[in-house]
Amino acid sequence: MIIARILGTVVSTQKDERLLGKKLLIVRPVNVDGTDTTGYVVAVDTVGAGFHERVLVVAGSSARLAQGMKDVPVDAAIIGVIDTVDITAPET
Amino acid sequence: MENWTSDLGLNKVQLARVIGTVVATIKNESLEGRKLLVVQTLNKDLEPTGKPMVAVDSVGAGVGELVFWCRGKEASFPFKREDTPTDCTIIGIIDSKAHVSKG
Repeated sequence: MIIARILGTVVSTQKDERLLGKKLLIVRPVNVDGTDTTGYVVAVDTVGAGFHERVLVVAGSSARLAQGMKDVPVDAAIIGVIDTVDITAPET
Repeated sequence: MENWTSDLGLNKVQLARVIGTVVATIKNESLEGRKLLVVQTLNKDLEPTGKPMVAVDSVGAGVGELVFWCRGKEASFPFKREDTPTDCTIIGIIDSKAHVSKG
């Protein structure tokens, strides 16, 4: 899973019917120290996350395993809102 | 070694060091009760390589420990596999550095 920051929303009217009612958000992966990386991902929200929040994003087929995502055509899902990230050991 | 394993997609089990924890109160119901840890991937010389990731713990690992982990859909297999949304799971704790062959 990666840590990401919510940048914005995507509105799509014509979409797979299994995506009806699902919120689509644009997220940017961030480093564990909170700094931005480049690029972005469109992810389906499963927890009700809001703008600028740091979230956990699961990618690949595991995204379909989240509750409410069964058989939904999705490869990135927001599965948690991060409260804190504690780095207590050196990265070596 | 690393090249052919990555070409074949066999690099899914990796060494890592647990470097921190993540707290998330609001999360998908299927992840409730799971411990989330930040892991730094290591190469065969136990040097950091790549960016840290967030992993679900399945073995009771702690910060500072050397672990191995797997990525992809297989990461959900230690749990109830059809409803645990994780693509990165710690699946074992390495007892000591001496057990990592540098060959």
